[in-house]
Amino acid sequence: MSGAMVSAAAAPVSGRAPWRLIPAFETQPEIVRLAQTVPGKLALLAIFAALFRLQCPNWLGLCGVLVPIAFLPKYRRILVTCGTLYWLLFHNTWCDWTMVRKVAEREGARVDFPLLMPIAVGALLAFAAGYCWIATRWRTARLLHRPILLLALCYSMLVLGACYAHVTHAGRVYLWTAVTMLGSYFWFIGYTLLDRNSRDRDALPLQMGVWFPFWIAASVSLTPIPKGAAYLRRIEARTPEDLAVTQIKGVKLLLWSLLLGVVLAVLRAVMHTWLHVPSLEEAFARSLARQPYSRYFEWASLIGDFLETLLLFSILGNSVIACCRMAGFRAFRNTYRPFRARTIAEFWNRYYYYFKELLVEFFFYPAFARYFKRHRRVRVFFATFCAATLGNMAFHFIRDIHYVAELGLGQALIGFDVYSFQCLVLGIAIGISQLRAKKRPKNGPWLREHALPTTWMLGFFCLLHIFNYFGRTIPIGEHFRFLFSLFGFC
Amino acid sequence: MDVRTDVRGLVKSLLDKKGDSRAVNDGDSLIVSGRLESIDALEIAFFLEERYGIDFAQIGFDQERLDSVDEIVSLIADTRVGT
Repeated sequence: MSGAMVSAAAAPVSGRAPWRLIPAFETQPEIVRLAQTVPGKLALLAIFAALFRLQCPNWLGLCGVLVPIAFLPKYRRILVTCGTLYWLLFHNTWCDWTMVRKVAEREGARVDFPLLMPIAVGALLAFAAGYCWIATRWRTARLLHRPILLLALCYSMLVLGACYAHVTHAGRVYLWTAVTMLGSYFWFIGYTLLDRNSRDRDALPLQMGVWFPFWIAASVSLTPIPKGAAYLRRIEARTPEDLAVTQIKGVKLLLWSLLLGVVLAVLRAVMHTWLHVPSLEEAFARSLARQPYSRYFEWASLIGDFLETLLLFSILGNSVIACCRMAGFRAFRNTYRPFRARTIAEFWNRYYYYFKELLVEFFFYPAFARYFKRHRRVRVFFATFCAATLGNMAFHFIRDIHYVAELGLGQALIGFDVYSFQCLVLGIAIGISQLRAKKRPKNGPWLREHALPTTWMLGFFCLLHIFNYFGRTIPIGEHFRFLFSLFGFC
Repeated sequence: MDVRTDVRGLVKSLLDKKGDSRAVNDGDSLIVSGRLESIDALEIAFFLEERYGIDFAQIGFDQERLDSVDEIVSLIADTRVGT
Protein backbone atom coordinates (compact mmCIF):
# COMPACT_ATOMS: atom_id res chain seq x y z
CA MET A 1 0.00 0.00 0.00
CA SER A 2 2.78 2.31 0.80
CA GLY A 3 3.85 4.64 -1.94
CA ALA A 4 6.46 3.57 -4.38
CA MET A 5 5.94 6.47 -6.68
CA VAL A 6 9.24 7.28 -8.20
CA SER A 7 9.64 10.81 -9.42
CA ALA A 8 12.02 11.94 -12.08
CA ALA A 9 13.88 13.81 -9.38
CA ALA A 10 14.39 10.58 -7.49
CA ALA A 11 15.85 8.69 -10.42
CA PRO A 12 19.44 7.67 -9.88
CA VAL A 13 21.94 9.78 -11.72
CA SER A 14 24.09 7.82 -14.12
CA GLY A 15 26.92 8.89 -16.33
CA ARG A 16 25.01 8.60 -19.57
CA ALA A 17 21.52 10.01 -20.11
CA PRO A 18 19.04 7.27 -21.04
CA TRP A 19 17.31 7.46 -24.42
CA ARG A 20 13.92 9.10 -24.22
CA LEU A 21 11.06 9.07 -26.70
CA ILE A 22 10.25 12.63 -25.63
CA PRO A 23 13.50 14.52 -24.97
CA ALA A 24 14.13 16.09 -21.57
CA PHE A 25 13.53 19.68 -22.74
CA GLU A 26 13.26 20.80 -19.13
CA THR A 27 16.96 20.12 -18.62
CA GLN A 28 18.02 22.43 -21.46
CA PRO A 29 18.79 25.90 -20.01
CA GLU A 30 17.95 27.79 -23.24
CA ILE A 31 14.49 26.30 -23.42
CA VAL A 32 13.85 26.88 -19.71
CA ARG A 33 14.97 30.50 -20.09
CA LEU A 34 12.75 30.97 -23.11
CA ALA A 35 9.77 29.48 -21.27
CA GLN A 36 10.10 32.26 -18.67
CA THR A 37 9.57 35.02 -21.22
CA VAL A 38 6.20 36.26 -22.47
CA PRO A 39 6.66 34.81 -26.01
CA GLY A 40 7.90 31.55 -24.47
CA LYS A 41 4.88 31.30 -22.16
CA LEU A 42 2.54 32.04 -25.06
CA ALA A 43 4.28 29.39 -27.18
CA LEU A 44 4.00 26.80 -24.41
CA LEU A 45 0.31 27.58 -23.91
CA ALA A 46 -0.28 27.42 -27.66
CA ILE A 47 1.44 24.03 -27.94
CA PHE A 48 -0.48 22.77 -24.92
CA ALA A 49 -3.79 24.01 -26.37
CA ALA A 50 -3.06 22.46 -29.76
CA LEU A 51 -2.29 19.09 -28.18
CA PHE A 52 -5.14 19.34 -25.69
CA ARG A 53 -7.60 20.00 -28.50
CA LEU A 54 -6.86 16.55 -29.87
CA GLN A 55 -7.82 14.90 -26.63
CA CYS A 56 -10.18 16.90 -24.48
CA PRO A 57 -13.52 18.42 -25.53
CA ASN A 58 -13.14 21.00 -22.74
CA TRP A 59 -9.77 22.19 -24.05
CA LEU A 60 -10.78 25.76 -24.82
CA GLY A 61 -12.32 26.51 -21.44
CA LEU A 62 -9.46 24.90 -19.56
CA CYS A 63 -6.81 26.74 -21.55
CA GLY A 64 -8.75 29.96 -20.97
CA VAL A 65 -8.37 29.40 -17.23
CA LEU A 66 -4.68 28.49 -17.59
CA VAL A 67 -3.69 31.71 -19.40
CA PRO A 68 -4.05 34.12 -16.44
CA ILE A 69 -2.51 31.54 -14.08
CA ALA A 70 0.55 31.26 -16.32
CA PHE A 71 1.07 35.02 -16.40
CA LEU A 72 0.15 35.86 -12.81
CA PRO A 73 1.80 33.09 -10.77
CA LYS A 74 1.73 35.26 -7.66
CA TYR A 75 -2.07 34.96 -7.63
CA ARG A 76 -2.09 31.32 -8.66
CA ARG A 77 -4.16 29.92 -5.82
CA ILE A 78 -6.76 32.69 -6.10
CA LEU A 79 -6.96 32.18 -9.85
CA VAL A 80 -7.28 28.41 -9.38
CA THR A 81 -10.19 29.09 -7.01
CA CYS A 82 -11.78 31.41 -9.59
CA GLY A 83 -11.25 28.79 -12.31
CA THR A 84 -12.86 26.13 -10.14
CA LEU A 85 -15.80 28.42 -9.40
CA TYR A 86 -16.20 29.16 -13.11
CA TRP A 87 -16.18 25.45 -13.88
CA LEU A 88 -18.66 24.74 -11.09
CA LEU A 89 -21.09 27.38 -12.37
CA PHE A 90 -20.91 26.63 -16.06
CA HIS A 91 -19.66 23.06 -16.57
CA ASN A 92 -20.77 21.09 -13.52
CA THR A 93 -20.76 17.51 -14.76
CA TRP A 94 -19.65 15.60 -11.68
CA CYS A 95 -22.93 15.43 -9.81
CA ASP A 96 -25.13 12.58 -10.97
CA TRP A 97 -28.25 14.50 -11.91
CA THR A 98 -29.41 11.65 -14.13
CA MET A 99 -29.93 9.56 -11.01
CA VAL A 100 -31.86 12.35 -9.28
CA ARG A 101 -34.03 12.85 -12.37
CA LYS A 102 -34.80 9.13 -12.43
CA VAL A 103 -35.82 9.22 -8.77
CA ALA A 104 -38.07 12.22 -9.49
CA GLU A 105 -39.64 10.36 -12.40
CA ARG A 106 -40.17 7.21 -10.33
CA GLU A 107 -41.68 9.17 -7.45
CA GLY A 108 -43.83 11.21 -9.80
CA ALA A 109 -42.51 14.37 -8.15
CA ARG A 110 -42.59 17.68 -9.96
CA VAL A 111 -39.20 19.22 -9.44
CA ASP A 112 -37.87 22.36 -11.04
CA PHE A 113 -34.36 21.11 -11.86
CA PRO A 114 -32.93 24.36 -13.24
CA LEU A 115 -33.77 25.86 -9.86
CA LEU A 116 -32.86 22.84 -7.75
CA MET A 117 -29.37 22.39 -9.19
CA PRO A 118 -27.81 25.73 -8.19
CA ILE A 119 -29.61 25.68 -4.83
CA ALA A 120 -28.31 22.16 -4.13
CA VAL A 121 -24.74 23.09 -5.07
CA GLY A 122 -24.91 26.25 -2.95
CA ALA A 123 -26.41 24.39 0.01
CA LEU A 124 -23.80 21.63 -0.16
CA LEU A 125 -20.94 24.10 -0.34
CA ALA A 126 -22.38 26.12 2.54
CA PHE A 127 -22.84 22.99 4.65
CA ALA A 128 -19.35 21.67 3.84
CA ALA A 129 -17.70 25.03 4.46
CA GLY A 130 -19.53 25.35 7.78
CA TYR A 131 -18.62 21.83 8.80
CA CYS A 132 -14.94 22.31 7.92
CA TRP A 133 -14.88 25.61 9.81
CA ILE A 134 -16.48 24.08 12.90
CA ALA A 135 -14.21 21.00 12.73
CA THR A 136 -11.17 23.27 12.57
CA ARG A 137 -12.33 25.82 15.13
CA TRP A 138 -13.31 23.19 17.73
CA ARG A 139 -10.92 20.44 16.71
CA THR A 140 -10.28 19.40 20.29
CA ALA A 141 -13.98 18.76 20.96
CA ARG A 142 -14.66 15.09 21.60
CA LEU A 143 -17.38 14.89 18.95
CA LEU A 144 -15.06 16.35 16.33
CA HIS A 145 -12.05 14.20 17.18
CA ARG A 146 -12.61 12.19 14.00
CA PRO A 147 -14.47 14.55 11.66
CA ILE A 148 -14.21 12.40 8.54
CA LEU A 149 -15.79 9.47 10.33
CA LEU A 150 -18.54 11.78 11.54
CA LEU A 151 -19.08 13.01 7.99
CA ALA A 152 -19.26 9.39 6.80
CA LEU A 153 -21.90 8.72 9.46
CA CYS A 154 -23.90 11.75 8.26
CA TYR A 155 -23.65 10.45 4.72
CA SER A 156 -24.81 6.99 5.79
CA MET A 157 -27.77 8.51 7.61
CA LEU A 158 -28.66 10.47 4.50
CA VAL A 159 -28.57 7.29 2.40
CA LEU A 160 -30.76 5.46 4.91
CA GLY A 161 -33.12 8.43 5.00
CA ALA A 162 -33.30 8.57 1.21
CA CYS A 163 -34.10 4.85 1.12
CA TYR A 164 -36.48 4.40 4.03
CA ALA A 165 -37.71 7.73 5.46
CA HIS A 166 -41.43 8.43 5.28
CA VAL A 167 -41.31 11.66 3.34
CA THR A 168 -43.19 13.25 0.47
CA HIS A 169 -42.20 12.39 -3.11
CA ALA A 170 -40.43 15.70 -3.47
CA GLY A 171 -38.76 15.17 -0.10
CA ARG A 172 -37.24 11.92 -1.32
CA VAL A 173 -35.90 13.68 -4.41
CA TYR A 174 -34.28 16.29 -2.18
CA LEU A 175 -32.75 13.60 0.00
CA TRP A 176 -31.25 11.85 -3.03
CA THR A 177 -30.00 15.21 -4.23
CA ALA A 178 -28.20 15.64 -0.91
CA VAL A 179 -26.80 12.11 -1.18
CA THR A 180 -25.40 12.64 -4.66
CA MET A 181 -23.99 16.06 -3.83
CA LEU A 182 -22.28 15.00 -0.62
CA GLY A 183 -21.02 11.78 -2.23
CA SER A 184 -19.41 13.70 -5.08
CA TYR A 185 -17.60 16.07 -2.76
CA PHE A 186 -16.92 13.63 0.09
CA TRP A 187 -13.20 13.00 -0.49
CA PHE A 188 -12.47 16.63 -1.36
CA ILE A 189 -14.04 17.74 1.92
CA GLY A 190 -12.05 14.96 3.58
CA TYR A 191 -8.75 16.37 2.36
CA THR A 192 -9.68 19.75 3.85
CA LEU A 193 -10.47 18.05 7.15
CA LEU A 194 -7.14 16.21 7.07
CA ASP A 195 -5.46 19.59 6.66
CA ARG A 196 -7.16 21.15 9.69
CA ASN A 197 -4.18 20.64 12.02
CA SER A 198 -1.58 22.11 9.66
CA ARG A 199 0.04 25.29 10.88
CA ASP A 200 0.26 26.71 7.36
CA ARG A 201 -3.21 25.61 6.22
CA ASP A 202 -4.97 27.71 3.60
CA ALA A 203 -7.98 29.86 4.25
CA LEU A 204 -11.25 28.04 3.62
CA PRO A 205 -12.00 29.71 0.25
CA LEU A 206 -8.64 28.53 -1.10
CA GLN A 207 -9.28 25.04 0.28
CA MET A 208 -12.63 25.03 -1.50
CA GLY A 209 -10.91 26.22 -4.65
CA VAL A 210 -9.48 22.73 -5.02
CA TRP A 211 -12.73 20.86 -4.43
CA PHE A 212 -13.16 19.55 -7.96
CA PRO A 213 -10.43 21.84 -9.26
CA PHE A 214 -10.99 22.91 -12.85
CA TRP A 215 -8.26 20.62 -14.20
CA ILE A 216 -10.29 17.53 -13.26
CA ALA A 217 -12.48 18.50 -16.22
CA ALA A 218 -9.67 17.15 -18.39
CA SER A 219 -11.02 13.74 -17.43
CA VAL A 220 -13.99 12.19 -15.66
CA SER A 221 -13.07 11.33 -12.09
CA LEU A 222 -14.32 11.62 -8.54
CA THR A 223 -10.78 10.98 -7.28
CA PRO A 224 -9.14 14.15 -6.02
CA ILE A 225 -6.21 14.54 -8.40
CA PRO A 226 -3.71 15.56 -7.12
CA LYS A 227 -5.02 15.28 -3.55
CA GLY A 228 -5.96 18.41 -1.57
CA ALA A 229 -4.75 21.88 -0.71
CA ALA A 230 -2.03 20.65 1.68
CA TYR A 231 -0.30 18.76 -1.11
CA LEU A 232 -0.72 21.60 -3.61
CA ARG A 233 0.92 24.03 -1.20
CA ARG A 234 3.97 21.81 -1.11
CA ILE A 235 4.30 21.21 -4.81
CA GLU A 236 3.61 24.73 -6.01
CA ALA A 237 6.30 26.18 -8.27
CA ARG A 238 8.11 28.85 -6.25
CA THR A 239 10.34 30.53 -8.83
CA PRO A 240 9.95 31.50 -12.51
CA GLU A 241 12.45 28.80 -13.44
CA ASP A 242 10.57 26.21 -11.41
CA LEU A 243 7.34 27.25 -13.12
CA ALA A 244 8.93 27.01 -16.56
CA VAL A 245 10.24 23.51 -15.85
CA THR A 246 6.87 22.44 -14.46
CA GLN A 247 4.99 23.75 -17.48
CA ILE A 248 7.41 22.12 -19.93
CA LYS A 249 6.85 18.87 -18.08
CA GLY A 250 3.10 19.48 -18.36
CA VAL A 251 3.32 19.77 -22.14
CA LYS A 252 5.53 16.68 -22.29
CA LEU A 253 3.09 14.69 -20.20
CA LEU A 254 0.20 15.69 -22.42
CA LEU A 255 2.20 14.62 -25.45
CA TRP A 256 2.93 11.30 -23.74
CA SER A 257 -0.75 10.93 -23.00
CA LEU A 258 -1.56 11.50 -26.69
CA LEU A 259 1.01 8.92 -27.74
CA LEU A 260 -0.60 6.44 -25.38
CA GLY A 261 -3.90 7.31 -27.04
CA VAL A 262 -2.39 6.25 -30.36
CA VAL A 263 -1.16 3.01 -28.78
CA LEU A 264 -4.68 2.40 -27.45
CA ALA A 265 -6.22 3.00 -30.88
CA VAL A 266 -3.72 0.63 -32.51
CA LEU A 267 -4.31 -2.01 -29.83
CA ARG A 268 -8.06 -1.81 -30.35
CA ALA A 269 -7.69 -2.00 -34.13
CA VAL A 270 -5.37 -5.00 -33.94
CA MET A 271 -7.42 -6.83 -31.34
CA HIS A 272 -10.95 -6.21 -32.46
CA THR A 273 -10.75 -5.36 -36.18
CA TRP A 274 -7.88 -7.47 -37.48
CA LEU A 275 -7.84 -10.41 -35.11
CA HIS A 276 -11.60 -10.30 -34.38
CA VAL A 277 -11.02 -10.76 -30.68
CA PRO A 278 -14.28 -9.99 -28.85
CA SER A 279 -14.40 -7.38 -26.13
CA LEU A 280 -14.41 -8.73 -22.57
CA GLU A 281 -18.03 -7.64 -22.29
CA GLU A 282 -18.96 -9.73 -25.35
CA ALA A 283 -16.95 -12.71 -24.17
CA PHE A 284 -18.57 -12.48 -20.76
CA ALA A 285 -22.06 -12.16 -22.27
CA ARG A 286 -21.45 -15.32 -24.32
CA SER A 287 -20.28 -17.10 -21.20
CA LEU A 288 -23.50 -16.02 -19.46
CA ALA A 289 -25.56 -17.33 -22.36
CA ARG A 290 -23.66 -20.64 -22.13
CA GLN A 291 -22.30 -20.16 -25.63
CA PRO A 292 -18.74 -19.28 -24.75
CA TYR A 293 -16.00 -18.36 -27.15
CA SER A 294 -12.99 -20.62 -27.32
CA ARG A 295 -10.59 -20.49 -24.39
CA TYR A 296 -7.99 -18.66 -26.48
CA PHE A 297 -10.43 -15.92 -27.46
CA GLU A 298 -11.47 -15.54 -23.83
CA TRP A 299 -7.84 -15.15 -22.78
CA ALA A 300 -7.22 -12.67 -25.59
CA SER A 301 -10.30 -10.62 -24.68
CA LEU A 302 -9.28 -10.56 -21.00
CA ILE A 303 -5.69 -9.52 -21.67
CA GLY A 304 -6.82 -6.97 -24.27
CA ASP A 305 -9.34 -5.44 -21.88
CA PHE A 306 -6.80 -5.32 -19.06
CA LEU A 307 -4.33 -3.48 -21.27
CA GLU A 308 -7.01 -1.12 -22.58
CA THR A 309 -8.10 -0.28 -19.02
CA LEU A 310 -4.52 0.36 -18.00
CA LEU A 311 -3.94 2.64 -20.99
CA LEU A 312 -7.18 4.51 -20.36
CA PHE A 313 -6.27 5.14 -16.72
CA SER A 314 -2.90 6.39 -17.80
CA ILE A 315 -4.27 8.65 -20.54
CA LEU A 316 -7.03 10.22 -18.47
CA GLY A 317 -5.08 10.60 -15.23
CA ASN A 318 -2.02 12.00 -16.91
CA SER A 319 -4.11 14.52 -18.89
CA VAL A 320 -5.40 15.88 -15.59
CA ILE A 321 -1.86 16.08 -14.21
CA ALA A 322 -0.61 17.76 -17.39
CA CYS A 323 -3.24 20.47 -16.92
CA CYS A 324 -2.35 20.77 -13.23
CA ARG A 325 1.33 21.17 -14.12
CA MET A 326 0.44 23.93 -16.57
CA ALA A 327 -1.16 25.69 -13.61
CA GLY A 328 2.21 25.53 -11.85
CA PHE A 329 1.99 22.49 -9.59
CA ARG A 330 4.80 19.93 -9.70
CA ALA A 331 2.52 16.92 -9.34
CA PHE A 332 3.65 13.35 -9.89
CA ARG A 333 2.19 11.44 -12.78
CA ASN A 334 -0.95 9.46 -12.07
CA THR A 335 0.45 6.38 -13.79
CA TYR A 336 4.18 5.79 -13.80
CA ARG A 337 5.75 2.86 -15.65
CA PRO A 338 3.49 0.13 -14.27
CA PHE A 339 5.30 -2.60 -16.21
CA ARG A 340 8.47 -1.85 -14.30
CA ALA A 341 6.81 -3.09 -11.13
CA ARG A 342 8.03 -6.42 -9.84
CA THR A 343 5.53 -6.90 -7.04
CA ILE A 344 1.79 -6.59 -6.58
CA ALA A 345 2.26 -3.74 -4.10
CA GLU A 346 4.54 -1.87 -6.45
CA PHE A 347 2.14 -2.19 -9.41
CA TRP A 348 -0.71 -0.96 -7.23
CA ASN A 349 1.39 2.06 -6.34
CA ARG A 350 2.25 2.85 -9.89
CA TYR A 351 -0.88 2.46 -11.94
CA TYR A 352 -3.31 4.84 -10.20
CA TYR A 353 -1.21 6.89 -7.81
CA TYR A 354 -3.76 9.40 -6.57
CA PHE A 355 -6.40 6.78 -5.84
CA LYS A 356 -3.80 4.82 -3.90
CA GLU A 357 -2.81 8.00 -2.05
CA LEU A 358 -6.45 8.63 -1.15
CA LEU A 359 -6.69 5.16 0.36
CA VAL A 360 -3.39 5.65 2.18
CA GLU A 361 -4.38 8.97 3.74
CA PHE A 362 -7.99 8.16 4.64
CA PHE A 363 -7.65 4.51 5.64
CA PHE A 364 -4.07 3.24 5.86
CA TYR A 365 -2.57 5.88 8.15
CA PRO A 366 -5.52 6.09 10.57
CA ALA A 367 -5.58 2.29 10.92
CA PHE A 368 -1.79 2.18 11.24
CA ALA A 369 -1.89 4.80 13.98
CA ARG A 370 -4.52 2.97 16.05
CA TYR A 371 -4.45 -0.80 15.72
CA PHE A 372 -2.02 -3.63 16.56
CA LYS A 373 0.64 -1.23 17.74
CA ARG A 374 2.66 -3.95 19.41
CA HIS A 375 2.81 -6.20 16.36
CA ARG A 376 4.71 -4.53 13.56
CA ARG A 377 3.88 -6.90 10.69
CA VAL A 378 0.24 -7.41 11.69
CA ARG A 379 -0.07 -3.66 12.04
CA VAL A 380 1.13 -2.97 8.48
CA PHE A 381 -0.92 -5.85 7.07
CA PHE A 382 -4.10 -4.74 8.81
CA ALA A 383 -3.65 -1.11 7.75
CA THR A 384 -3.11 -2.30 4.18
CA PHE A 385 -6.26 -4.40 4.38
CA CYS A 386 -8.23 -1.41 5.69
CA ALA A 387 -7.07 0.68 2.75
CA ALA A 388 -7.01 -1.69 -0.22
CA THR A 389 -10.09 -3.65 0.82
CA LEU A 390 -12.37 -1.59 3.04
CA GLY A 391 -11.39 1.82 1.70
CA ASN A 392 -11.58 0.63 -1.88
CA MET A 393 -15.07 -0.77 -1.25
CA ALA A 394 -16.23 2.42 0.48
CA PHE A 395 -14.94 4.63 -2.32
CA HIS A 396 -16.69 2.66 -5.04
CA PHE A 397 -19.90 2.22 -3.07
CA ILE A 398 -20.15 5.99 -2.66
CA ARG A 399 -19.15 6.59 -6.27
CA ASP A 400 -21.83 4.21 -7.57
CA ILE A 401 -24.55 5.20 -5.12
CA HIS A 402 -27.03 5.38 -8.00
CA TYR A 403 -27.38 1.59 -7.73
CA VAL A 404 -28.92 2.08 -4.29
CA ALA A 405 -31.47 4.46 -5.78
CA GLU A 406 -32.21 2.05 -8.61
CA LEU A 407 -32.18 -1.32 -6.85
CA GLY A 408 -32.72 -0.50 -3.19
CA LEU A 409 -30.09 -0.67 -0.46
CA GLY A 410 -30.35 -4.43 0.15
CA GLN A 411 -29.97 -5.47 -3.48
CA ALA A 412 -27.22 -2.91 -4.07
CA LEU A 413 -25.29 -4.31 -1.12
CA ILE A 414 -25.80 -7.94 -2.14
CA GLY A 415 -24.83 -7.19 -5.73
CA PHE A 416 -21.66 -5.51 -4.52
CA ASP A 417 -20.21 -8.94 -3.69
CA VAL A 418 -18.21 -9.19 -6.92
CA TYR A 419 -16.30 -5.97 -6.44
CA SER A 420 -15.99 -6.67 -2.71
CA PHE A 421 -14.38 -10.01 -3.51
CA GLN A 422 -11.91 -8.25 -5.78
CA CYS A 423 -11.08 -5.79 -3.01
CA LEU A 424 -10.65 -8.62 -0.51
CA VAL A 425 -8.20 -10.50 -2.71
CA LEU A 426 -6.40 -7.29 -3.59
CA GLY A 427 -6.03 -6.23 0.04
CA ILE A 428 -4.64 -9.59 1.11
CA ALA A 429 -2.33 -9.80 -1.90
CA ILE A 430 -0.91 -6.30 -1.42
CA GLY A 431 -0.44 -6.96 2.28
CA ILE A 432 1.48 -10.17 1.65
CA SER A 433 3.41 -8.56 -1.20
CA GLN A 434 4.54 -5.73 1.09
CA LEU A 435 5.69 -8.06 3.82
CA ARG A 436 7.57 -10.25 1.31
CA ALA A 437 9.12 -7.26 -0.46
CA LYS A 438 11.27 -6.51 2.57
CA LYS A 439 12.87 -9.94 2.35
CA ARG A 440 13.44 -9.92 -1.38
CA PRO A 441 17.06 -9.51 -2.49
CA LYS A 442 17.59 -6.58 -4.84
CA ASN A 443 20.24 -8.05 -7.09
CA GLY A 444 19.99 -11.38 -8.81
CA PRO A 445 19.56 -13.00 -12.23
CA TRP A 446 17.35 -10.92 -14.53
CA LEU A 447 14.99 -13.79 -15.27
CA ARG A 448 14.39 -14.64 -11.60
CA GLU A 449 14.43 -11.13 -10.20
CA HIS A 450 12.64 -9.21 -12.96
CA ALA A 451 11.00 -11.21 -15.76
CA LEU A 452 9.28 -13.88 -13.67
CA PRO A 453 8.01 -11.61 -10.86
CA THR A 454 6.66 -9.12 -13.42
CA THR A 455 4.91 -11.87 -15.39
CA TRP A 456 3.42 -13.37 -12.24
CA MET A 457 2.30 -9.97 -10.99
CA LEU A 458 0.67 -9.01 -14.32
CA GLY A 459 -1.00 -12.43 -14.49
CA PHE A 460 -2.47 -11.84 -11.04
CA PHE A 461 -3.89 -8.42 -11.95
CA CYS A 462 -5.15 -9.72 -15.28
CA LEU A 463 -7.12 -12.53 -13.63
CA LEU A 464 -8.36 -10.21 -10.91
CA HIS A 465 -9.65 -7.96 -13.69
CA ILE A 466 -12.48 -10.49 -14.19
CA PHE A 467 -13.89 -9.32 -10.86
CA ASN A 468 -13.45 -5.63 -11.65
CA TYR A 469 -17.20 -5.38 -12.09
CA PHE A 470 -19.06 -2.37 -10.75
CA GLY A 471 -22.56 -3.50 -11.74
CA ARG A 472 -24.89 -5.22 -9.31
CA THR A 473 -26.80 -7.74 -11.42
CA ILE A 474 -24.38 -10.48 -12.51
CA PRO A 475 -23.74 -12.91 -9.64
CA ILE A 476 -20.24 -13.74 -8.53
CA GLY A 477 -20.67 -17.37 -9.60
CA GLU A 478 -20.71 -16.25 -13.24
CA HIS A 479 -17.40 -14.47 -12.75
CA PHE A 480 -15.88 -17.61 -11.26
CA ARG A 481 -17.33 -19.60 -14.14
CA PHE A 482 -15.55 -17.31 -16.60
CA LEU A 483 -12.34 -17.62 -14.58
CA PHE A 484 -12.48 -21.43 -14.54
CA SER A 485 -13.33 -21.58 -18.25
CA LEU A 486 -10.02 -19.86 -18.98
CA PHE A 487 -8.31 -22.92 -17.55
CA GLY A 488 -10.65 -25.37 -19.26
CA PHE A 489 -12.66 -26.31 -16.18
CA CYS A 490 -16.07 -25.19 -17.47
CA MET B 1 23.05 12.77 20.87
CA ASP B 2 20.61 15.62 20.26
CA VAL B 3 17.26 15.12 18.54
CA ARG B 4 18.27 16.72 15.25
CA THR B 5 21.37 14.56 14.88
CA ASP B 6 19.32 11.51 15.73
CA VAL B 7 16.71 12.34 13.07
CA ARG B 8 19.38 13.17 10.50
CA GLY B 9 20.91 9.75 11.14
CA LEU B 10 17.57 8.02 10.53
CA VAL B 11 16.88 9.98 7.33
CA LYS B 12 20.38 9.28 6.03
CA SER B 13 20.04 5.55 6.70
CA LEU B 14 16.69 5.46 4.88
CA LEU B 15 18.13 7.34 1.90
CA ASP B 16 21.20 5.09 1.90
CA LYS B 17 18.98 2.02 1.73
CA LYS B 18 17.46 3.44 -1.46
CA GLY B 19 20.87 4.16 -2.97
CA ASP B 20 20.29 7.92 -2.69
CA SER B 21 23.64 9.40 -1.71
CA ARG B 22 22.77 13.02 -2.55
CA ALA B 23 23.13 15.60 0.21
CA VAL B 24 20.03 16.39 2.20
CA ASN B 25 19.37 19.67 3.98
CA ASP B 26 17.19 19.83 7.05
CA GLY B 27 14.45 21.66 5.19
CA ASP B 28 14.46 19.44 2.09
CA SER B 29 11.27 17.59 1.27
CA LEU B 30 11.71 13.84 1.56
CA ILE B 31 8.36 12.21 0.81
CA VAL B 32 6.55 14.78 -1.32
CA SER B 33 9.68 15.13 -3.45
CA GLY B 34 9.77 11.37 -4.01
CA ARG B 35 13.14 10.74 -2.35
CA LEU B 36 11.42 8.62 0.27
CA GLU B 37 8.23 6.60 -0.12
CA SER B 38 5.21 6.19 2.11
CA ILE B 39 6.65 2.91 3.43
CA ASP B 40 9.60 4.94 4.69
CA ALA B 41 7.14 7.22 6.47
CA LEU B 42 6.14 4.13 8.44
CA GLU B 43 9.79 3.50 9.32
CA ILE B 44 10.01 7.08 10.57
CA ALA B 45 6.81 6.52 12.56
CA PHE B 46 8.17 3.33 14.15
CA PHE B 47 11.32 5.24 15.05
CA LEU B 48 9.41 8.12 16.63
CA GLU B 49 7.16 5.78 18.61
CA GLU B 50 10.00 3.68 19.93
CA ARG B 51 12.59 6.40 20.53
CA TYR B 52 10.41 9.36 21.55
CA GLY B 53 7.18 7.70 22.68
CA ILE B 54 5.06 9.58 20.17
CA ASP B 55 1.52 8.21 19.97
CA PHE B 56 0.13 8.75 16.48
CA ALA B 57 -3.31 7.66 17.62
CA GLN B 58 -3.35 10.78 19.78
CA ILE B 59 -1.91 13.32 17.38
CA GLY B 60 -3.07 11.79 14.09
CA PHE B 61 -0.80 10.51 11.35
CA ASP B 62 0.08 13.39 9.08
CA GLN B 63 2.59 12.48 6.38
CA GLU B 64 3.38 16.16 5.85
CA ARG B 65 4.83 16.34 9.36
CA LEU B 66 7.38 13.67 8.49
CA ASP B 67 8.43 15.27 5.22
CA SER B 68 11.73 16.85 6.29
CA VAL B 69 14.23 16.74 9.13
CA ASP B 70 12.92 20.12 10.31
CA GLU B 71 9.32 18.88 10.31
CA ILE B 72 10.21 15.73 12.23
CA VAL B 73 12.20 17.66 14.82
CA SER B 74 9.33 20.13 15.16
CA LEU B 75 6.88 17.25 15.62
CA ILE B 76 9.02 15.79 18.40
CA ALA B 77 9.29 19.22 20.06
CA ASP B 78 5.53 19.83 19.81
CA THR B 79 4.77 16.44 21.31
CA ARG B 80 7.14 17.07 24.22
CA VAL B 81 5.51 20.44 24.89
CA GLY B 82 2.13 18.74 24.73
CA THR B 83 3.13 16.21 27.35
